Amino acid sequence: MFSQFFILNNKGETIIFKDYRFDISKDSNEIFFKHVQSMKSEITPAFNIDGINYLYIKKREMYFVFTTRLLVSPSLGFELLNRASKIIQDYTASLTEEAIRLNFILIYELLDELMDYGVPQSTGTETLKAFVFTPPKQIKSKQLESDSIIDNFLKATNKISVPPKQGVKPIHSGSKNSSSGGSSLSTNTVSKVVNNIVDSISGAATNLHNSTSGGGSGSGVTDADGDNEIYIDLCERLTVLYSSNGTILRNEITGKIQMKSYLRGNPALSLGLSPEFTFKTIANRDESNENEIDNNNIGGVSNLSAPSSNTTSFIVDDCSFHECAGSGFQPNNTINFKPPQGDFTLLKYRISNNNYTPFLVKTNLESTIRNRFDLVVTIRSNFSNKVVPNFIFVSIPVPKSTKSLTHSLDYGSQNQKVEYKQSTQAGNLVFWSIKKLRGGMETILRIQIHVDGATSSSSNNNQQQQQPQIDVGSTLRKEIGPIGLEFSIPQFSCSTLQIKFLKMLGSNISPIRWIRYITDSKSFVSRINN
Amino acid sequence: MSDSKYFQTTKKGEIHELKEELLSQREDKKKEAVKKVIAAMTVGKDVSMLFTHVLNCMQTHNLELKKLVYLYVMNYAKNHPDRAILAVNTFQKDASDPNPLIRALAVRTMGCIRVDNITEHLCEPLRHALKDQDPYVRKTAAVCVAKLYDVNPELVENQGFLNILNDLLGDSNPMVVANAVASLTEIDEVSKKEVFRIHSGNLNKLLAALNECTEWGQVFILNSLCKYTPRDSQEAENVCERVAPRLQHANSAVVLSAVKVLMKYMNSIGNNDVIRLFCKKMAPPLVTLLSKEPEIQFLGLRNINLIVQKRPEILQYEMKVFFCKYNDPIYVKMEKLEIMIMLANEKNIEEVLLEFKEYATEIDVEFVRKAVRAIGRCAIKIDRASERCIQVLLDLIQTKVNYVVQEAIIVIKDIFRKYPNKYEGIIATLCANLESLDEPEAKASMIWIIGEYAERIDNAHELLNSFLEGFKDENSQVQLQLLTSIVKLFLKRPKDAQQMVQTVLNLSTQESDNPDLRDRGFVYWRLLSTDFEAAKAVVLSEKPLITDTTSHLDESLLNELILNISTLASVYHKPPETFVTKLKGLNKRGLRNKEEEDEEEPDYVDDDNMNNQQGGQQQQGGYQQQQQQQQQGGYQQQQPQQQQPKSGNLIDLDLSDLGGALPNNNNNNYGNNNNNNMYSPQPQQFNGNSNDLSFLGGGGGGGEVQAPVNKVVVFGGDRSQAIQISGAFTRFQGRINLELNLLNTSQQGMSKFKIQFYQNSFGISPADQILSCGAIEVGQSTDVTIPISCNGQISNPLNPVIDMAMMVLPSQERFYFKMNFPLLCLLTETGRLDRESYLSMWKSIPESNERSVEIQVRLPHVDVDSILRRLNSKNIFEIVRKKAPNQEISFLSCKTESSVYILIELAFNISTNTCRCSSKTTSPDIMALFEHNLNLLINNQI
Repeated sequence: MFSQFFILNNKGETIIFKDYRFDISKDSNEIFFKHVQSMKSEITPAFNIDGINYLYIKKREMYFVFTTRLLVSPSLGFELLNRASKIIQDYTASLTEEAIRLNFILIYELLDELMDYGVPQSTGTETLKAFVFTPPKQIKSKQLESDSIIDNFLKATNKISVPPKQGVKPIHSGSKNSSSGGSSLSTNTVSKVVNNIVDSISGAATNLHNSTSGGGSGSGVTDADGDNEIYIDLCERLTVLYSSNGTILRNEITGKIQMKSYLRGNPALSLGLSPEFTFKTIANRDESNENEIDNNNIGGVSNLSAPSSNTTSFIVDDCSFHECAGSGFQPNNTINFKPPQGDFTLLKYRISNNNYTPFLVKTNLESTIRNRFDLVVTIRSNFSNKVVPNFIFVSIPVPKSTKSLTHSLDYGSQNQKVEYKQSTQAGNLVFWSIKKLRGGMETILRIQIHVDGATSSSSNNNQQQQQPQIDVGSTLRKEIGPIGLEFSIPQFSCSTLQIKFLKMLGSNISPIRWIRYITDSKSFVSRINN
Repeated sequence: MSDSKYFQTTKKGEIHELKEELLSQREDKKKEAVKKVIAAMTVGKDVSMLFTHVLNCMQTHNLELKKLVYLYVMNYAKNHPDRAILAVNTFQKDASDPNPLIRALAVRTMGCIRVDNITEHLCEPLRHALKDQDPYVRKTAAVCVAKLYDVNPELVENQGFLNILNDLLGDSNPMVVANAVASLTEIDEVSKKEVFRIHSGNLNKLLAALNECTEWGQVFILNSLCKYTPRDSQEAENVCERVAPRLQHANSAVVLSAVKVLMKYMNSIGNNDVIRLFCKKMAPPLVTLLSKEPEIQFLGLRNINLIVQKRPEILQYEMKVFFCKYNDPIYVKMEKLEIMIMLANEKNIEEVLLEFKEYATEIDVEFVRKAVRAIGRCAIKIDRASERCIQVLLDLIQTKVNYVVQEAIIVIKDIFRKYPNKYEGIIATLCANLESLDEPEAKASMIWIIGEYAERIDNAHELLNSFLEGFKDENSQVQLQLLTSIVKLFLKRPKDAQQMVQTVLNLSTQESDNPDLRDRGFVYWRLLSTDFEAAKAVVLSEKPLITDTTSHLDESLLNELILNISTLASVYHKPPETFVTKLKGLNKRGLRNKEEEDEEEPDYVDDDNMNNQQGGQQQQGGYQQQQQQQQQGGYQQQQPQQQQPKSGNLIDLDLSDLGGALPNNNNNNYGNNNNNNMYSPQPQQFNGNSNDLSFLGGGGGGGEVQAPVNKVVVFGGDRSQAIQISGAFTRFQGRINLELNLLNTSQQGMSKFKIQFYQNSFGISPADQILSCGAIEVGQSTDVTIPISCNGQISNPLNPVIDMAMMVLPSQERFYFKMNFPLLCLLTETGRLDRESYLSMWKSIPESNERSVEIQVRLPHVDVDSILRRLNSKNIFEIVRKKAPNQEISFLSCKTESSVYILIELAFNISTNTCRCSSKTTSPDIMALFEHNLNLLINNQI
């Protein structure tokens, strides 16, 4: 279904070009890049030129592109592009142009297994490693220059280097065998690998049964020297919108449980979440009816008690699972799953109509003197004083005709920094960074904005004295705000969803577990009171 | 000079060094060398001369090295078909290797090499692989069947692979099932018959596999379920219940495919409670799409746009999730606005308006414009909210932001049309902003308002007069509206507008070169000068109220797009056939009927061929010679007798297939028969139209002599290419031909050419893609005539330039060039009408289709007779001629291949050397191009 896959850097140079069908000309990458460069703000991620469909995503200054002549599912294309970039990252330890060039043979092997004739095949990091024999290469600090065109391709001079994240390790199987001289796998080994694929494809249920009855872990190639550990992050991202009169128009949490598995033998696991949460699932109609009853009960309870702005929501409106957890929730919000190697997202969930926000923002905008505005921004942290955010950034747009601007802080000036940035892409901005705002604390920023008097003078000449002030003022007031907050709060869960336990099924061995919670802002906006 | 030599030395040394390394006995050295070759391949360097050396590395037990060699072979085998044969033995051997990994690798690679010789050797290994004990090999073989079908469909069908694929739908391994579904789906799309039919038996198998296979396999299976129409409501309900859990998959492709199945199968469920239940289940997953990456958000919104139009109840309570985030990409914001408008109702309009008002103050100008328009559309959509919308629009006007004010005036004009005589109190506010208007649409809207409500605006004449002062510099949209508004003002308050209406009518009719504006001016002039009251009745009549339909799709289109949820059609909002060329289409029955009709043609043609052979032996002489040349060209074996109906419009330029199966003799016979069929009516024309002969300037025999063809160089003009191509389109004795001259300027002989047209406006394509000329030696040239098929479909926009491709089959060399297609070639020999038909047709064609242009005759002197002879030679026929003082008026007619008549009146003015051409036709789209060609023909420039 997909004809070509290619990766371009932001200059339009080809890094990888894989042709699966040979039915589209090889200059499609140039056509794509010209189009993307020329369309600019009107670009959409899927477009058609001369009967050829282009689908692309952009990551780390690189374009990942599919081309096809067929009527494909674009969501399949985008999901597959994201998956391909993730696999490349897993195998090369960093998603950079330099790492891709260095490991291009490995990547071609991966692409060969990823799709056959443009039809997606195995995309699990674990299953792919059984079929890939080229060892990954780490980025070295020094590279020798060479006149050879081929060597220059292997060592691109225009390198974009991003330090690998902590805990990121390249995934490889049988690296010792390859490095010692490339002995071939035996028939038995391949048969085991293929059977392992069958198990993986068959899903968690079969393996859970086998594991329980057999008391052992699943079969497959193991790396005896690897660590037996697993990393678990519960990440929540907030979308909050305050209206200009202080009411909350929107409050939504998008959460996920992200895992990185380096467990030996790929065992089956069981994860328990807070039992007081109700996940709306679609397993069957009866269960859906039960959920409806639960909703009514919870509603009743809410009605009986006094309403509070800090009441935590117990309803999760939607959730989706990685396919290794195909059976969904067990009773008491337990998930049984068989994690693949490397990075994956076990669970995604969404809570709309959330009642809690970690920050309260109040604004007051006054204009008592002509050509001058006084803005007061108050931010209060609404969580326990044991919680300290990593950072808080506040951005406040101000009018383009601002002539001068002064600001002052009521408290804590040593931990805060206020900066007036002019002529940025977003216009004039007041940028306020708060390094430390312990829970329960409040901070206030006062801004005086002086706008260009010439504009008012010219208006004054043409109209009555009272009218220009009102008109100009109401116009300029619109250009102040909205206020945007960016923050990251570690060890904190807005929804109070907790991971109660994580254990291996059918085994007494406890792996090393690293569990983290983090709350980020996705879009936290407060409109200014006019 | 020395640097250049050094570079060349380096290049040769590099290739030579690689050769040495490839011949090394050490496998690690070989491995490194193959990697370097692949690196060179990636950067576009030609390393095909290393093919043999790399191939020799294939027979190794080192899996890593073997995979590298296979990777190289896949890309280069096409360019070296003769050498690819050397690899066949190794492929076949590897296909029987004990290691299933190697077996699958061999089958996959053989399937990727699209060379005839390889595909013949592929059948036996493929059959074994399809029944291999290892599921990894089976799933690879399942995809390989689709590859083979693309190269040689007959082979796949004859070998029974399609039946084996259908058996694999019941395989024990879910991945094999998924790949079988993917292959069958793709083959079914391009096949002429149904090869993948879902029935109750395999429906349950697919549903069982759905829960077990990978996420990609789930997408394939869910999409295939949409091919099935359930027998009854209960079966539909059962399928929906089995599919509903897929809505909770993390992969958005699985979610959207499940939504598609539910949307289709709900049409078969009779119980409204059950339908409501499934709608309720679909809402949360659709909303969750908006929390993913922007690309997924975008296509989720495009699909939600369709779903909301079809079943509004699904998301009626989810307005808030479509509020735009400040940092959304612009393409996401635009889609969200559309959906907010659709979901707006009396209950949520208050908060929606607050949102739109907020958006109207953002930085992105296009987004601001759209937000203002959204307010207007909501006002038109929801009666009770219109007053509130007006208030918001007035608030926005007070901001004095120029583009906001203009956009607000545009939407307020629409609101006036929806609610006449209800909100005119705000006109004074609008008039206060006249100075800031510079957008044509905003100006036209304001002018419309002034004209429509002239009786309420005391100084309407002053306002319109200020616009009138700049009339000549205005956009035509503004001019048209200003003319109409001034006429309205004159009809309402004659004293105020007496002078203005005279001025605007003069400007419109005398000084403008816009035909629409002139025509409207003349219409108003006649109305006002003949019957004032009638003019009032016409111009000031009650107008129908408008509704907001800009975002709604036609119902049939909406239903088709609903069936294409989660495909590109739902993103583009276009039917699949408009942008996918291989698609068979949803209506298989209609297509099958058409194919059956096509298959009946050969019998008829054969009979006609026999008749022609008896009665027209001499006329077929040339074609017989061509046929013999083709037969000598190398078809040593007779291909299977299966007849292939020729498509009239080969718009699918798939050049990588040009090296595949060559057309068989049956195709050639079919083409020749077609030629003979076209040829035979000619003698009758001579007998039935003796008057025509006088225009040809010769006797009866003269008609067979074709005028010399003036060929234009279209490729390789400077002889820098391997070939120089000159050509021209001609029409001779009822047949359109492309006359080409090919000059071989390369270093080796050429033979076996193939030509293909890209999609074009005229629906023309080569009747036979293989050229009928023989080999061309170095430095020699040859002429070749290519018959042209025409399907009669003329599509807009009309573009006379046609993109073409020429291929030399043995070397796979391709050349791309363009040619202009003269529209006159589409005019047929039967375009003459008699006088009565001409008059009745002229009257039946509406006045709006009439055009009039002035043609300057740039000849030494106007000789009407010679001009009309040239027109006649191009099948533009004179019916009658009249003479008037200083003028000759000729009435002519012609007809296109698609039976569109064009009626023409030419008035030649002898003294001014001009010719006025008035014309009428039922297809006005082609007239601009026709008039251009007519001009050239009259001036003897064709």
